Parts: sequence; structure tokens; C-alpha cells
Amino acid sequence: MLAVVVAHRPGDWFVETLESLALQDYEPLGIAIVDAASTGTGSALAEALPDVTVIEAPRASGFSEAANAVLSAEVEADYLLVCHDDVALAPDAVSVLVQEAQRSSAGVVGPKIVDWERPEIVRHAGYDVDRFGVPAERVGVDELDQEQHDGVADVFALPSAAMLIRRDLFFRLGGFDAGMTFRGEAVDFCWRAQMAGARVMFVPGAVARHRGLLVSRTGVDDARLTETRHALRSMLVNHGRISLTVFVPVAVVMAVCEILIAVCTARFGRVRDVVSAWVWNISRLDIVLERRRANAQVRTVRQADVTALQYLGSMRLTSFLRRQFGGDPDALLGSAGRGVFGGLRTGTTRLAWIAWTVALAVVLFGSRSLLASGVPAVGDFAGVPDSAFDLLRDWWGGWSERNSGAPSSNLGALVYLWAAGSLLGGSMALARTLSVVAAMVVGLAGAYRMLAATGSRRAQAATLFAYLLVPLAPVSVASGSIAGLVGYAAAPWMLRELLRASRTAPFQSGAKGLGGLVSASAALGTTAGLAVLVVPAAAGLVLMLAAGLAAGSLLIGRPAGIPRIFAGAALAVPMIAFLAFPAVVDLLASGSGWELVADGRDGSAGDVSFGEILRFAAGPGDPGWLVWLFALPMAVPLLLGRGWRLEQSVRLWIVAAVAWAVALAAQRGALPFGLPDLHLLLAPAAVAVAGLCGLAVLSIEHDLRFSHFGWRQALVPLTVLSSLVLAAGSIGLLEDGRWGLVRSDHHASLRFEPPVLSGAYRVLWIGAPEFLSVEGHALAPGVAWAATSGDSVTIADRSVPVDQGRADLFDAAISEISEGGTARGGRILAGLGVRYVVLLHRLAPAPFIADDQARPVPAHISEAIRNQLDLELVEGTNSAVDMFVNTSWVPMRGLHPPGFDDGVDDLADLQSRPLTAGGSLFSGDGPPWSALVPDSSEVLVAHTPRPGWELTVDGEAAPRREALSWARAYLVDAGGEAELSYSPPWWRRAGQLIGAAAPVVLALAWLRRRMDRL
Amino acid sequence: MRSMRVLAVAAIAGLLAAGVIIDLPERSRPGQAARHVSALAAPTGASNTWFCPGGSGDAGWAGLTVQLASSSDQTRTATVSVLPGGSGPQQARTVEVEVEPYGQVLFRPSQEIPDAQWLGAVVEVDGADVVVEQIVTAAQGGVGRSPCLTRTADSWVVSNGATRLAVERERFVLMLLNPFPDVAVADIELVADVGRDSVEGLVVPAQRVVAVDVTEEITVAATVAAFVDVVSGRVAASWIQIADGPLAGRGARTAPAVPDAAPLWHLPVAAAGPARRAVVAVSNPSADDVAEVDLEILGQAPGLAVNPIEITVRPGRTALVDLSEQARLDGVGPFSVAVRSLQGVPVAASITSVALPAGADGGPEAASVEGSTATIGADAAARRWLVPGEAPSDGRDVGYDDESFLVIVNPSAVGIARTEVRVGGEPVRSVEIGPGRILRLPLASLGADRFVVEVESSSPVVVGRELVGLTSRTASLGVAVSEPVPLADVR
Repeated sequence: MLAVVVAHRPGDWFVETLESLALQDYEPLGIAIVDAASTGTGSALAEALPDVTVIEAPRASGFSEAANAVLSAEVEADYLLVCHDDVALAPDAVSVLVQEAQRSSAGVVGPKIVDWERPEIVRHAGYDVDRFGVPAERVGVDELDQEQHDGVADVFALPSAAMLIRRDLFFRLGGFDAGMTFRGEAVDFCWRAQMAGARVMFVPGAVARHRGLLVSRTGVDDARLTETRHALRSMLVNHGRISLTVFVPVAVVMAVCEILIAVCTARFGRVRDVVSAWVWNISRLDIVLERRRANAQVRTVRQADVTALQYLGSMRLTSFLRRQFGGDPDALLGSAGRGVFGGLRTGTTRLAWIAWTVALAVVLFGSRSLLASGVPAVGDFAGVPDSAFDLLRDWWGGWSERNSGAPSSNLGALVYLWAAGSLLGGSMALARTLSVVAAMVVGLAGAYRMLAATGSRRAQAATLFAYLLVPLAPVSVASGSIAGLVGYAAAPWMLRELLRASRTAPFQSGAKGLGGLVSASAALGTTAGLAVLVVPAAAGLVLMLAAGLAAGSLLIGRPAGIPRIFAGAALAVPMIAFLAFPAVVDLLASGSGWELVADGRDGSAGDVSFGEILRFAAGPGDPGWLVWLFALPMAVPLLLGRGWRLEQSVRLWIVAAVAWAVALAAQRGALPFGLPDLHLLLAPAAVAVAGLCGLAVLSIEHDLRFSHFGWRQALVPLTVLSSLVLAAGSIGLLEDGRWGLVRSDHHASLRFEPPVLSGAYRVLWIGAPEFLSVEGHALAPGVAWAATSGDSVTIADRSVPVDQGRADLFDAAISEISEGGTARGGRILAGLGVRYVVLLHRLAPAPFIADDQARPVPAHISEAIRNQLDLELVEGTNSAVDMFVNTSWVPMRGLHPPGFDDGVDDLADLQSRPLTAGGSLFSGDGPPWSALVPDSSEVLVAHTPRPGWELTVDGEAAPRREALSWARAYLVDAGGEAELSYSPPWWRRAGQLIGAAAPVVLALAWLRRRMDRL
Repeated sequence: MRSMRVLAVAAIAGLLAAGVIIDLPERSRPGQAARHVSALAAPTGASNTWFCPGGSGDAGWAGLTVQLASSSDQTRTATVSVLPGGSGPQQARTVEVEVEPYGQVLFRPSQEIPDAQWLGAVVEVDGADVVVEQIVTAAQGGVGRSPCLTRTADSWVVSNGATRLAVERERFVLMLLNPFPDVAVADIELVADVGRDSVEGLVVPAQRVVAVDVTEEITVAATVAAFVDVVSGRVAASWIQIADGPLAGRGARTAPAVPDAAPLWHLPVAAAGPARRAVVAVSNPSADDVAEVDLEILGQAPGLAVNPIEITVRPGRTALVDLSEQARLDGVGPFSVAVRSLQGVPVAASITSVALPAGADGGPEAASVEGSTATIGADAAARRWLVPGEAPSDGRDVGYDDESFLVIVNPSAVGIARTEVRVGGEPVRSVEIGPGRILRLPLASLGADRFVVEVESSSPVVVGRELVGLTSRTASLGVAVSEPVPLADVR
């Protein structure tokens, strides 16, 4: 037995290394010191320790070459113990290693390596290695040694810090790959040992302390570079020809992807590492080929048998994905590998994989019809432009045609929808459909992660399934409620971050103090901000959840976390504002924010009862009585739980109670103001229900055993039974493959004239706020109105206007009509460009939605509109709508003779001085629009007048005046080529860019942080 | 731990129970229910549209004249759209008419479209203080007059017509006016004492009037009711009854049809006596429910107590009550009739009155001016009314029964109505009307020639009037110019 210690300018610890060797109980043990730096260390040692053999290797470029120096020395030992110079072996380590090597006929054995300073921390227990040569530790970071690794095991590779190698094997393999200076040489050697038919074994009975810290000793941080380079070298050298043809292309693709991500995250050093690794290996192809030939000489095992021992997949990719979807965020690559190999051997991880597989399968199966035929434009599910470019233009245009028109800070979400559509080959409809399905998956992911801090995969899986079974998502889809879906997606993440902010058990991992609070707030703000990007009212979920948690904490007498909860919520505001910029600024500045938040609801009573609220039955697709079965698992943690499980269950119950109370108040009309969509309000309750189901599992796992035998034990089978019945009963939701969403929308049953043929116009929609495709304005209890431009309503119409423009004119005109003040309402509406008035009585056309889901426009409004002498009811339209054509309509952008509106000092004057139809102008897509305009004419532009609008005729700006008491008329003396355009101020466009870039910036920052951990 | 658990369970259970309890009461949904739209002409907007379903052109037997009477001290402008009948080549014509302060304008639509057989008009006025009436002049003599309608509807009821053409020379015509730009289609069911008939799929073209001559559908009917169901679109409807016979009297009657049935009606203009034969018609448009109806007599004299007249009206039928045959009304004096459906089954009520000439079967006493009137009931009351009036400029008094008069009914069961009557903006009478009482005022005591009476009351009242001309009589409700209050809501 010869201990080969490779020394490279060792420090004071080297004495301890040598002492540990000297104290070994194995005899005879020779010691050879390879002096890799020629600093005289070897000579000094030879003088002090005559029994030690010193091998000088002054030109060794690294550990491998230095260790290989023993190949040229005369060695008579059967085993070589190759060590670093910063390793201290336990006194019995060598004898244990030798015994195990002989007992198992192993070629390479290695000890359990613990931390130099803190021996209770396990540093190495062998490596798992993927087919790209990338190793992964089998232990986690700072993992406590609790004897969890104390079993002899076959591993693929061992660290070179200390490894016992059969001498003949070492010589037959030619030692380490001398081209590998540091890092990777042990993996390569063990790989070749496996090829030669030698077992590589981890022997935990032997313990060695390892100091590590190579970077601080060498002063060069080239760890990533050398790891990448040598892993690639191992792959190129050790794979057989056939497998190499498979893995090299894959490795190339992965390298390209890694480079792209690194470029996006400004990790140019990483780019250099990857490129350098490939260049280094390609430039040494001759060495690679030479080593491949050498390997062929020693190979005694089929390549397939060797690769079967390797991890199927990519360690780096798995590590990355695991960290995003369930792994410990603080774990490094090592834990990923351990998680994969170890996890596959454990039931809990298998449970997680099964749970996720089932959940995703359910979502996809339940959405099969949606994915195949698309999402109709019902409720909030506004359509999308046919072209991705149109969507981008709408976003960049900075003008919203909704109602009377107003400058708009279009939400950055449009940009991402555009990007998704572009990536899908321009299929905006598919991007929209996938967005709906993705919202469900995001919500499920949040639910799964919510209880990750408990460490119970069963609890996580229970939460996941419960959230899947909570009918909020299907009901939201069936109701066409984007708000409900966004709430479903965001609420679990928000609740998780608020719990993290509270630092109540078990959410106490991560940084303490302000750092932890800021971290949780940043995550909370990011979640809320992304939700606000789509539905501004979603920010309110943070308040509801925080209020529920705080009230729950008070109820259980644990107020300590309350300040942190609200501080976390407050600290999240800047992040929300950043992500929702500049819309959030506009909302605050315009003063009309609440109306947008309430979406046309005026605080009047609704139809949903408290029982239906508890069952999440807020619209079509009533989930039925089965939802009551949730009561049993929800009660379990309350009745069985102890300690933090009981405390958290009370908090979650109160979160649900707060949500239900707010929803009830809204439905009872108990508030003087309107609240957002009921589905959104119920999102906290949904996530609380799911969380309670997860806590039920924890309570059964941990707390039931402390109870005396009695009724509590009966809860378990009852809970299981109710869950099974609930799951079985919910299968019906999957029947139609579209979560109850109707198959057609109103636009399919309504026929509007194309604006390009007849002139630009507006459509006035009146109906329940939930039926309108865009945010409405309250008109009467349970009724709102909205006006859109042209023959389609797209998601761009849902943009946040800087102000309400002259929406007050619509209010006045509609009030005049509905109160019976005029029989010529069409003339007034003509002044606003309204050509069609549509009363929506149902969410979707008949027969796609049931009669009992109808919410007809109140009779007095419907009657009043039907009483208008110039609104012609279109016969034969679907019974779910009443559609009127305004016979007094004039184009909202039209050509008129000078003075066409003389005597019209107020819009109401149009009743007695109706406009005569002007020529249509500028009716295509825009702005800008262009057309030929004759001499001596006026161009009426029925938009809210705002700076930025301009009409040029042959390049000259046309003078303008106020028309119809609110709009603009441009005076054209000499006709010519005219262009009507809108240019928002530069700062608004800058704001839009910032808003659109904000998620990208955050994503890149997050990605960069993640990559740093790889 | 145990106390925390108990407290938490109790609190959560309490919260859920509180939710259940809070949700028990009915929810208040202001404005959700359809507002009652009265049968009254009620121009309550800043600008108002009147629908005059019309009459015949110059060549017809029920010539149409439209009268605009203003109670405003400002000049009002009205836009009159004359709508021709049928599907002829004529186009609607629109003219502007100015009405002087407190002035009246008579407008003959036939001057705009001379060759139209039937004509209607839509009058748009820039104020709520102008009353628009349609006057139908029968070729065989007699004038009918009633306010035009201020609403359209998709169902109408006409309670009492007659088609005894041979004996009584009665002609009964339904006028349907479609002021809208889209076509209306109506089904009409005629229920007569001699049988039933129906007209289905009657097309009323856009901005046209259609006259349905019921005489040609059901002949020799002493009583015929019409139920109009507009299956597509909406129309305004009125009817014209011409008569010249020993029982029916001589003259023309016109009145709006009733759009909505209601459980309570007031017929303010009622009279019965040797020279007057008044018939109350109560129609039950319900398909299934039998209506038990009381006719309550409201008198002018305090302490008047007359037992109500009890009738039963079967579904889809019309019951007629000849007040002249009710001995209980002898000596009652001026009265009004309240028609109350006891079980709340909606009904429609109207009253027809014939002033018999001397020597007729009606009795030994003769009315000073023969003729017949027809008035629909009022299903609502209001605090302000306008009533166009006429009176001889010499103020001659011919006795209450033959004099033009104004009737104000206080439908309240408990409250006194303090009422002020103004003419030309000047108050001319201020009176108090007890609960369930009526006040009958001679128009001659209020003004002379043509004028508009304005009635304003502290509580909702019902106002009607009967005009007695030289050769004919007309009766109608006034025009409510404040928000009508359903009679069922008047306490």
C-alpha cells in the first residue's frame, strides 16, 4: 500500500495530512509525496521523514500529471491511495478501504469525505455522472451527516481528493488524463475504470476530512471553465463510436442554448467558458483520438453497460429545471444529481412525478377541445387581431379606441402575447388559447410550491390535486373570466410569498431579517406585477391574502408575523409598479382607476348566494354539491393539527373566510362601490382550500399518532373517501374538453358591416359587466356599457386608458335614452359615431348557454332603446342579444361640408338638428390613415380631442376646430393627400418600453441568478 | 393548544354561520325590476314624442286632425312626421310647427300627403308642456278626440267596439302606427259576442300606419274586443268607432288602446242617468286566470257609500257592465269608477258613454248634445296634469250633465289631495279633495275658448275631462306631466 500525496505548495494543514497518514492502523503503509511545485517541500519532508518517498514533478501542469508521476516510479504496492495535500484521513480509513476493496473486488474505492472544519457536514459521497461527463454530487450543500449515506454503494465516480486504486488498474489505464489539470480527472478515470470492468465503490466506513478551497489557493477562478472543458473531453474520449454520434449533436445543441441564455443574461464569462471548452477540445482532437485508441485497448465492458450506469439526461438541465419546479432553491448542482438519482429511488419524489404527470394530463385532457378549436371571444376572453403585427401596432400606437377614445398605456402583456404568437408562427389564436391553459398550469405549480417549505411531498401533492379539483379554474373558463384565471394563477404564489415574509413556521428558510423580507417582497411583487399586467385588479389579491393571514394570526394569538406580512406587501408595491409601468401611473393619475378595477360594477347586489360562493359556483358550469366534500379535508388540520400545522390551518381558514366575506358583501350589494369580478375575489379562498387539504395530509402524517383512539382516526378514511368521491365526481368536468366554455361567441352571431366598406363606426355594448369583452361603465344595477370601434373587439381594446376621454358623453346619451328623455337617441349616438347598439342578455349566443344563465338587460333600458325611432332592431339575431342599427349614424371619421354642425352647441342638440351622412374617410386600420380629401371640406374626427392628433394635407397641418361640442373638425381649403395620425408624447412611449421591458429585465436577472448557481 | 383550537373552530363556525344569516334576507336590487309604464300619455322628458295612430285622409270617413296645445310661456317647436298608410308609394313627410305660448295649433296631416287613405303622425316636441291630441271627424257627423300616445308597445288591448254596420251604422277600426325604421308584424285576436276571429301576420311597414277595419272581420257584433300581439317590432295603437244608430247614438269615438293590463283602474269620466248610457268594459287578457273584479263608485259628495258592482271576467274575455241599469247609482250624482281586480289578475278597463237624443230609448230626458264618448282607464296617477279645455266664451251654464267639465279623482284611501288648478299659468282654483273622492269642475268656470288646464296636486290624482261641443261630445283622460305612479302604489 502506497499513499500518493500530490502536494502543491501546501499550507500549515499539510502537517495534519501527513499526521493522519502516519497514524493509520494499516501496515505497511508507504507514503510518497509528489512535489508538484518544486518549492522544496519534498526535500524538506524527506529530511524530516526518512520513510517518505519524494517524487519531484516540477513540470506537472496539474493534479493529474503530478499524480501520474507515480507511473514512472518504482512502486511495489498493490494499492495506491491517491490523495490531495489537504486531506486528513481517519486512522482506520485505509484499512477499511482496503478491506472493502478486497471484499468487493473493487478497482476504485473512496471514503466519505467530510468538511475539514465541520466534520458533521458531508462533502462528498461519490458522483452520479450523466452521459455528457457532467458529475453531480450525491449529497446536498452543507448536508448534515446523519448516517444517511452510511451504506457501501456502487457509484459511477469518486472525487480525487482521496481514492484507493488498485495498482494494476492505475497502470493499465495509464493513470489520470494528464490533459486535465484540475477538476474532472477523477470522473474521467473512474469512467475508464468502469470500461475496464472495475467496480467503483463508495465506502462510508472510511472517513476523510477535506479542506478544498482550490480556487483560493491557486488564485484563479477557472472552475466553470475547467469543469466544462474536461467534461466535454471525457465525453469525447470515453464514449463508443455509436453513442458518440448521438451525444455530440445533443451536446452541441445544449451548448448553443446555454450560450444563448448566457448572452441574454449578460453572463459573457459563461459564454467564454462554453466556447472555450469546445475550442480547447477541438484543437486537441489528435489527443482525443489517441486516448480513444488507448481506451479501446483497455475496454472489457460493453459501452452500453457503462452508459447504463450513467444518468439518462442532462445533469445541468435537470438541475436547472428542478430548481424552478420543486427543488430546493438553495441547492447546487450536487443536490440536483442526488435528487434525481436518489429521488427516483424514493417514494416521495416518485409521488411528485406521478402527481404532476396526472395533473398535467388532466389539464391537457380537460382542455383538449379548447386546444383543438380555440377559445371563443366570450366574457373577458376578447379576441386577438389576426396578425401579430397588428397587436404590436396597437400596443405601440398609444391610443385606445375604446369608448370615445383616449391615450392609452397599453399593457405590456400585449407584447408578450405578440411574442408568443410570433413564436407560434403568427398564430395569435393559438397563443391566446395556450395562455388560458397556461394560467391553469401556473396556478397548479404555485399550489404545489406553496407547501414546499413543509418538506412533505405528500402535502404538496395533496395541495396540487386539491387546487386542481377546486372548481374556480373551470368556472372561470366557463364564465370567460380572465380575472378569475389570473387570480387562480397568481394567488398560490402570492400566498406563498406572504407566508415567507411572515417567517412563521415552517416558512422560515432563507435569509433572515431584512434580506429575507426583501426577497419575499420581490417575489411577491413580481407575481402581483405579472398579474397586474393582465388584470389590474389582481393587485388587490395581495391585500386580501395579507388581511386574511393577519386576521388568522391574531385569532391564534401569534401576531409576531403581522408587521412582516404588511411590510412585505408594502415592499412589493414598487415591484408591481415597475412591472405594470406605465399603466399603474396612468391609473393613479387619471383618478378613474377604481372604475376600471370594478369593471363597470356599481356595488349593487348580484345573484350568487352564499352557498354558491362557498362552492365557487359563480357562473356557468355549476360544480354541484360535490364541492361540499372539501369541508372534510379542510376540517382535518383544524381538528387534528398541532403546532404550526394548526396555526397555519387557522390562517388559511381565515384567508378563505375573508375572501368569502368580500364576495358575499359584493353579492349582497353591501358596499357603496363596485368590486372586481367575483371569480377574482374567490381566488384566495380557492388557494386556502387547497392549502388546507395539504395541511390535512401533514396533520395525518404527524399529529394523528398523538391522539387517543377515537373519532379522529375515523377522519382519515372519511377524508380519503370524500377525496376519492370528489375526484371521481369531478371527472364530469372533463367531458366536453373545454371546462364548460361555450363553443361560440356573440361575434359569430352578429353581422356588422365592414368599416372599410361603409365607414368607421362604434358599437355600443350594454349588458352585465361579465358579458362585456372590455371594461365597462356602470349604467344601472348589474348593467354596464362599453363602446368599441369597428367590427371586432380585440384584447387591445382592454388597454388601460390614461383617462376616460369623453366617456361622459356616452353616459349622458345612454341615460337620456334609458330614462325616456328622447325618442331620437340614435341622433345623439350618431354624434359619437355609434352605428350599432347591442344588448347582451347572455354570456354567449343561444343555444350554447342555458336560459338560467341569462341576465337580461333590465326591461326599462331595453324598452327605452326599443322606443328610439332611429334605432332599428335587427330581426333574426340570436335570442341572447338585441342588436339595433342606428339609422341616423354618420361615420366617426367622415367628410362633411363646412359648417355641417352649425347650431350644435351640445350633443343633445342633435335630436333636433341631426347630422346628415358625410362621406366616409379613414375607415381602414390605423392610425395613421390616409385618403384623398377634396377642396373646401371639413373632416370630422369623432375622437376625444387630445394633443398628438394631426391631419396633414400634402404635408401641411390642417387647421382644426371643435365640432359637435366635443370632437374635432379639420378644415381643408385646398384638397390633397391627407393623413390623419396620432403621436403620443415621447415620455409615454418611453414608459411603454420600460413597462414592456420590465418583465424581461426581471426574468434575465432571475435567470442570471439561477445560472450563477449552476 | 386546545383552547386555541376551540377558539379557532368556534370563530370559523361563527363566521360561516354569520355568512348564512347575512344572506338570508332578500337582496335589494334597485332598478332591476321593470318600471311600470303607464297607459297614460305622459310626456315627462325634455323632449317628447307623441304617436298619433291617426285616421283617414280627406277622402275617408274619419278625417284626422292633430292639435297641439301649449301650456308654456315660450314658443315651442314641434316636428311633425306624417306617416301614410299601407304600402303605397307615398313617403313620410316631415314639417316643423311652432306653437305660440299658451297657444294651440290644428294640423291636418292630409294636407301633407293628400292622396293617402289613412294617415298617422309622429310629433316631436321640445318640451313637456305641449299636449298633442288627435281629433277624428266622422263623415257622418261627430267628433272623437283623445290625447295621442307617448309610447309604443308590443301588445295592446281594446276593450269595447261594435260592428253593427247595418242597424247602427257602426264601424270599428284599429289603427296601428309603426314609427320605427323596421317592420312590425302583429297578430290580432278579435273576441266578439258573436264569435272569435283573428288576423295573423299583419305587416305594419316601417314608418307607416295600418288601419284594420274590424267591421270587415267580424260583422254584426254588439261588442268586440281586440287583443293585439306585436310579434315583431312595436307599434302604437288606437281605435276609432263610428256610429249612427238608435242604440249606439251618433258620433265618433277614438281612444288609445291599452298597452298593459293592470289590477286597478280609474275611470274618472263616468255618468249614468236617463239621458246617458254608460258601459264599462273590463277585459281579461290572461290566458288562464279568472278575474274577480269590483267596480267601486267614487262620488263627489262626502259620505257616499255605494256597494261595489261585482263581476267575473273569464280569461280572454270582456265583461260589459251597463251602469245605466244599476239602480244603486240612482241619485248618486257625479261619480267615477274604480275597477279593482281582487286577486290581482291584470285587466284592462274602459268606459263608453252615449248621450241619447230626445225621444230615443234611453229615456224621457234627453241630453242637450247627443253623442258618444269613450275613455280608457287610468292605471296610474300623477301630481301634474295638463288638460286641453274648451268652453263657450259667454260662459253659459247648461247644467252639469251637459257641460264640459274636468274631473279630478283622489285615488288615495287615506290622504287628502291639495290641488291647484291653473290656466295660462295663473291659478284659478285651489281645492282639497278627500280620500276616495272626486271633484268635478265646469270647464267654463276655468277659462274660455281654447285653453290648457294645468292641475297640480300634493298627492297623485287622476284627471279626465269631457268636452261638449255643439254637435258632439268627447271624453278622455288628461295628460300626466309628472312621473306616473301606479295606482296600486298609491296609499
